Amino acid sequence: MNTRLGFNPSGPVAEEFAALRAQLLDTDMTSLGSAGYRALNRQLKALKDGPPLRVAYLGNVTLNLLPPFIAAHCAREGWLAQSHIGNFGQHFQELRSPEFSAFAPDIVLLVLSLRLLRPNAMANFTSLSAPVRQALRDDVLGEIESWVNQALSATRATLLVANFPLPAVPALGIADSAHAYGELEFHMELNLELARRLRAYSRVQILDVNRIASRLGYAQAFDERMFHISKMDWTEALMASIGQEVARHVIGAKGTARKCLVLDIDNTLWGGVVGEDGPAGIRVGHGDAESEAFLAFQQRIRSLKDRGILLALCSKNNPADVEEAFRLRDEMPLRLEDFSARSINWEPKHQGLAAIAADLNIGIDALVFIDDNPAEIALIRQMLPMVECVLLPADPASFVATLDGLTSFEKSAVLADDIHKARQYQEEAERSRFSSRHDSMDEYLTQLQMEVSMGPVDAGSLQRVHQMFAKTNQFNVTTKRYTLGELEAMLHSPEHHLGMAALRDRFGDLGIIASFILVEDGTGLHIDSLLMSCRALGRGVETAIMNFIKQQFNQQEHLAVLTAEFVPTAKNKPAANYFTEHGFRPAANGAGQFYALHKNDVDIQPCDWIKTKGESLWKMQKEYG
Amino acid sequence: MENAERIRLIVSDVLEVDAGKIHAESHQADIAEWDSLAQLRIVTALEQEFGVKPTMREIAELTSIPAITRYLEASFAQ
Repeated sequence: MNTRLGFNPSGPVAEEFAALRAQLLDTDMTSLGSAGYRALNRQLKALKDGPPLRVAYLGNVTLNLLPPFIAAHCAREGWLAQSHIGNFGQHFQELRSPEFSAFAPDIVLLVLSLRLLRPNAMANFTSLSAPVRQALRDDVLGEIESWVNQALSATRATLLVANFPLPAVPALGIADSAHAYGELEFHMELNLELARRLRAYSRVQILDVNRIASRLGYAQAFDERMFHISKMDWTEALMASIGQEVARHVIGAKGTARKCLVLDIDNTLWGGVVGEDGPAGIRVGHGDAESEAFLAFQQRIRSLKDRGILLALCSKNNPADVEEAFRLRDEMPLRLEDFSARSINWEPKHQGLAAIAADLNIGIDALVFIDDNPAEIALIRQMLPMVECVLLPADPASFVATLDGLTSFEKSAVLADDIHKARQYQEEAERSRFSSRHDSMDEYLTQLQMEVSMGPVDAGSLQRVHQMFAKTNQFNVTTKRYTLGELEAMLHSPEHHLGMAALRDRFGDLGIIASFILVEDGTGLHIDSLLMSCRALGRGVETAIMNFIKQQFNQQEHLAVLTAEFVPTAKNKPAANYFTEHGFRPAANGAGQFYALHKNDVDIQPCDWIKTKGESLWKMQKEYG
Repeated sequence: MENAERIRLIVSDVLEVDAGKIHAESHQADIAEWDSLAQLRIVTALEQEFGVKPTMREIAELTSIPAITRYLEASFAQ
């Protein structure tokens, strides 16, 4: 699990939470029921501590019954949720209340009922003219957008704005669609326009209540009795599904998605056993129903790759059989090259999973493992409880739904960098083969023909930078997990200078691979954070980055001392000597590992195997000042 | 288990009140935790447990262990 601010990830309290979480990872949350959620929430209340997640609930409906469902699903994803429920109907006032700002939410949920927001118009909808309905739509959209703008400045939280369920039966019946701007058209356009407008805000997401309710069926999702009694018509079944959907958004907002899907092969990627049935006998592709189902499953897996999730194989087979099957059955959407790592042998699978994680240079806790064999799943659950395991159901027709039910691959946006992730890992494999052909490290680095461009973080790169802040464990000097909102605020703060570095070499573009935050305080400049993706490790890029920071520091005449801190964690040893190796001296005061470098002592270290380009981090200020 | 006993346990589970503090004659007015939102949670729990669906008027009356017992027995008798 990632280290999170304000929570010590080791110690007995953390173990208690981790044990409950491991139990939840094996629980089918959809079958919990009312009593199951109650029992789970009692367990959560008894926990003294866990990685905190503060969720504020605002809106014009009664939201008090919702938090236990959200807490249950967030616990499964590694968060101990706390709730703050705003006063009924005061979603604007609440943003300015001292209670709200003291609560400092990570997530703010806005749920509005149209019936309560515009009671007269909604009650008389059938007698309104089309232009009046359009004005009503714009009025509602305007109110929400104005709330969003106020909320964005009042909090650094991610905002989740609920959309509106369509009427299950429009008041005019089937005639509704015959009229311009009927009831259904109104609701559909309201939701569509809401999604389009809110897309412009990186910290705002749509909570798609309409889709979740449709999946469940409106009859199961809403209870008119409860609306009249308590001004909230969501059933417990809907609240449970919403709980899971909110947990998906939390994973996206926090950037804590798992990184790699590891798949078994026989009876997982295709029907049958390739060692017995032969490449021609395995069932996948067009023809019979089972083959079609495996084809659909492979297509769905492929789309995960486009989301930036790495794929890997872990199976007990003869590697040659598997290679032959992929070669001969070219109608399969997945190719052997789509898998960034493979462990195909007869060793126990927990060893295979560990090897895959090591190969890809990611944590074992970043893996999801899918198998059709309950014994293999049981073994992994026992040996590697941090891996999320998925046992496939009996019918391959349900495999796609099983994959869709996974929450752990959620990202709030698919970035350009994600789409190329698998290719980048392949290029990495080529690089390591290339490196084994070179006798000296220097020669290898020179031959790589690296180019590093460094400069200020711009708004367009903020999501990628945030993703790195959420995920980077190894080369990370302070491991501060800033939220998107906090980074965004620094972008506009004159004291903060956010920098980033992008890398390319003869094998391809590695994209943005490092980021750092410099904070100006009088004549001092402090390296608050500095992190580099593991795929750029071991190439001297960190020296090029430090040279750049030193040059930036030198160019600012008012600055006299460059300071830094190293905060050790279980994983960041690769960065432990970074500052001393680059000329910093340990600073005497303070309990932590502090370093300082005075202007006269700055030296630029040789790093001539990398071509560098730098753009001043102070440029913005010159423009405005 | 007898219905009255099941009801007592469900109510204590929903309210997170020690089962010993809720007896066969307990009423909403006697138990601080039994507020209007808890009332809805009790109704939802009863619906799931006994497969019933009380009307709004019936919900308004389900405010004591005896009332809940009477309602459920009447529902089962039908």
